[in-house]
Amino acid sequence: MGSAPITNRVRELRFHAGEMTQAQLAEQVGVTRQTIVAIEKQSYSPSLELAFRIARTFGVTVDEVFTYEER
Amino acid sequence: MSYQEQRSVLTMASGVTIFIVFFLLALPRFHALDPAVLSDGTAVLRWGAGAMLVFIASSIVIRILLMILFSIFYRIISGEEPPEIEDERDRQIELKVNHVAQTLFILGFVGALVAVRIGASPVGMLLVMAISGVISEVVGESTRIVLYRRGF
Repeated sequence: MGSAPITNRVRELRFHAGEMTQAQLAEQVGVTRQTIVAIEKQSYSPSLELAFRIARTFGVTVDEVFTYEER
Repeated sequence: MSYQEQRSVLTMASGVTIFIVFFLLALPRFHALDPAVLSDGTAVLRWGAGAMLVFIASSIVIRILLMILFSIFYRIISGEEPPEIEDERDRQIELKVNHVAQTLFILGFVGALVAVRIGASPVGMLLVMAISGVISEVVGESTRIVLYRRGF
């Protein structure tokens, strides 16, 4: 439970992608808006497949979106 | 509160309400049974099993109607469409909820067997099973709300 050790820049990347909405990103990667909300709040770590789909939507690599924080 | 959380609250509330209403309707019928039936364990078990089947069937029908009404009211009140897809997060939460609910129901099933072993009537056994079903649903749906809210 609680926040995962994986941080992400999804919110920032959405902003730089013409202020893409959570709903638009959700539709493009095939999940619900609530899942994008949970990923941005870092209360849910997406699967590898979804991480790749998000990164490709923004035209960047996975490690430019997600970072594993050692604790 | 998200669509899934609201649906969980409705599922819990309707589950408990349907059980209480059904229990209140079934209790006088049980007391009105012929003494000859009440003294025959097999006949009592047959009556209880019939009552449980009616309870399960009516619960399913009422739930389906409630969920249809909920979807309609959700659209009207929130102005949003209910989520049409079930994604990986929904499926992971569903698995965890099922695990919690099934574990509790199995414990209830064992509890029902223990109840019979220590002298409970067949109807008492069915009642323990029904109550464990309601408890497993309430705890399962509460788990779902926590998982949607706090993450995992």
